[in-house]
Amino acid sequence: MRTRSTCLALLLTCAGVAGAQEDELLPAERAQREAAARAFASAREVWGALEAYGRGGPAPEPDLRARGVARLVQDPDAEEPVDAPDPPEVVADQLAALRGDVLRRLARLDPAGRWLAEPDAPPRPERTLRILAVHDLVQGESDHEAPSVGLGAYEGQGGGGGGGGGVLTFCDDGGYGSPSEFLDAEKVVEVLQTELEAAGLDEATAEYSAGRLLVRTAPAGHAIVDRVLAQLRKVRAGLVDLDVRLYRLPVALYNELRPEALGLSAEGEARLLRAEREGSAQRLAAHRLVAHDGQRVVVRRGQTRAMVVDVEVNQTGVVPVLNPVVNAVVEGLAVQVRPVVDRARGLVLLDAAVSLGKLGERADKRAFGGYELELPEMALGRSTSTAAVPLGRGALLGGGLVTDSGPAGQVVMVYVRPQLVQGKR
Amino acid sequence: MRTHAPLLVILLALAPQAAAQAGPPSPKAAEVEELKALLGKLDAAIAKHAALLDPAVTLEVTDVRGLLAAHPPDRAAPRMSVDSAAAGFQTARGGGGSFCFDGDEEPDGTVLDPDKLQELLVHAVGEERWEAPCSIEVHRGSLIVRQTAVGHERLRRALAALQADTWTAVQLEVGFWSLSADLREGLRRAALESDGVLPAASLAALDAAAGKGARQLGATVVSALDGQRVYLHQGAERAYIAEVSQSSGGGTGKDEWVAVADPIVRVLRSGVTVDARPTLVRDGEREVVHLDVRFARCRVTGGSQKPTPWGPIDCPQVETDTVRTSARVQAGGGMLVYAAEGGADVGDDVTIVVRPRIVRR
Repeated sequence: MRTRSTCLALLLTCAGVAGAQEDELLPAERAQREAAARAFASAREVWGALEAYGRGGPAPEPDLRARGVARLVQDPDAEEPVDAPDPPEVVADQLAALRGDVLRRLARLDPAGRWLAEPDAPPRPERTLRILAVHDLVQGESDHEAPSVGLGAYEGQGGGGGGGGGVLTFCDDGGYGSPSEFLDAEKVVEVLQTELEAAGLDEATAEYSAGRLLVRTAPAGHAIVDRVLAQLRKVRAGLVDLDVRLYRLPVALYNELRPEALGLSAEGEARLLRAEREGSAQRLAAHRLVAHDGQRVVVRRGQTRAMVVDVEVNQTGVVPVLNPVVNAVVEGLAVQVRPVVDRARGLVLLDAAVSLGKLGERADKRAFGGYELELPEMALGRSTSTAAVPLGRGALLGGGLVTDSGPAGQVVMVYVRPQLVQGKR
Repeated sequence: MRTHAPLLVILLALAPQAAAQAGPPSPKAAEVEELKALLGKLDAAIAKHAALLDPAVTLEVTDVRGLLAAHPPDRAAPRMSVDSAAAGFQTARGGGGSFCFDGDEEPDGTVLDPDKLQELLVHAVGEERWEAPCSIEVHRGSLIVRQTAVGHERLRRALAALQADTWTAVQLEVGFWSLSADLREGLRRAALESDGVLPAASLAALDAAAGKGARQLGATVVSALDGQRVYLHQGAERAYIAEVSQSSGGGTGKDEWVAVADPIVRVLRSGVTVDARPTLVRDGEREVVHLDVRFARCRVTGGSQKPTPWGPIDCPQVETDTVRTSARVQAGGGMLVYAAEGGADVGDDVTIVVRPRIVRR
């Protein structure tokens, strides 16, 4: 049996602890505490109503008040309500049982009032079918791959493909094929079914077929489906506009911009433009392209030459014969960029790889079996850089090596400015 | 005809009843009203307790790719060497440095995997808070959670704490210098005194000496995320005939036996590669960059053509320098990666300094 002094001590102890933790509470936790206090206050109101009930007149039989008090505080002799609440689940059970007592008493006093009757079931709403396009959620965007700048064609990598060597390869192994892939179709259906069942719409059905969702449910269910799909789309909304440039800068200018190189301010951008106008900075290339969030995109500029890179022996017949192997040798500029957006922090992770190559004027030639193999030489530079850049700001990510450019030195830098634009995912 | 008198009698007879009805309600009716008021309070209290015991569970979807793929895969510099199995080198595609430094010693660049992230978040919210209908799943870089308002807030707090250090980048400024003997010796001494690290004062002296005893041969900048491997290659590629193999065949009877030569073409890479992995570590109170750097330089110094019955093959001659080194560099410092004195060729004289700079988000 609780006494008032014990409850007061407990309350004071709890108040001390609660006060120390109050500042550390999350808003939802604070709201939960306030809701608990309101629930306790409502239980005290019931107590007050019980105290008033039956006073000033003969106590009704059976003694509803006594039984109600006993239920609420589990002490039939208690004169006042306790200060510290029982656990909510205990109080809820007590209140429900007291409610039953009240209803039974009302049913005896007012038989015509239908106090214990079950309410009529509401009419079942009509289910309708909708077909919704969801390919933007379930079909990832393909990565684009740049041809490999260099003599990879001579190593059997093929001039038209991405080549091996990891130079321009962004293979991801995070458990999915590409960061641009979003949701599996089955997962979308599963999420919707769960939400519909949670809302009591057990008879709702949702199926996926060829980029479309077929949903049959009541109007309330359709509203849930719309809400969930909008919520899913919001996670990856927008396209990434990329302003990609290649600069040749004096090292002194880079040192000036260095503190903000991975997120140029307006002053930094102006300084870069001024250097361009003055001629100290040279813009070697500039391109604008648009990518989906997580999609790899490519800028490619230069020449591709078909060359006889090898001969192969065909021995399918009795007599071996030689066949020429012609492949494409790629020179020029290739820039691959993959942006991954963090909308919560306003950042874009930019993963960039740059290749710049130039074939020599003359290629060595050798004759084999009546064919002339071409053996060229190519000067090239390659680099990779990754950094997180604020949305809407340009960054000097990294670049190639420039040699013998005078006492002060120069650098070649890739500049990328990502912006999120609204529209289709 | 009735007179008003009977009507008056009726009215007078009804008067006591009317008086009785206008008086206080019967005890029974009063109790019903009291109980209805009590019922209203009971319903309100029960509703408040129900909201406490059965809080609303809502769906939230969050993008967590930044945690799962905190950095893209490592990329290694291309090999520069004359490939030959007989010489002990293996023909490789895009492998590591010239002398196969790569092996099992490389860190695998593991970041948070989906299962681990899910486990961390379950603990952050509270293991007791995940009974149905609450649920959590990491699906293709998206976190799909059904939780109460309190659960969602705890998740957001945990995610913010996890994301605080992701996408921290290190910019590596690589300078190639030709230095006077005094300057070079000064840098070496400074590096020896502090485990290969150049203090800020030494770097400032180097910058000040530009044009006066120090000539910058070249410079480059690469950016990497914490723990990521990035590279730079500058040089040339040349295709050459490394070998010739013969294939032959013929028919029966009077057909001649025919031999054909199949040339084996290889690509010789030369130039300079710088391959680096910066990792942020705590050294007491301060944060430093652990730099693991590989430098390789390959120059074609000559070569010859050897005649074969099927045509000449190329035998290039190269000179290579390779260095793999590591150091812990504090803020403002640098790392002396390589220093070679010149020979007859001015290109022999090169000092390479790497300066890391941490960029936090």
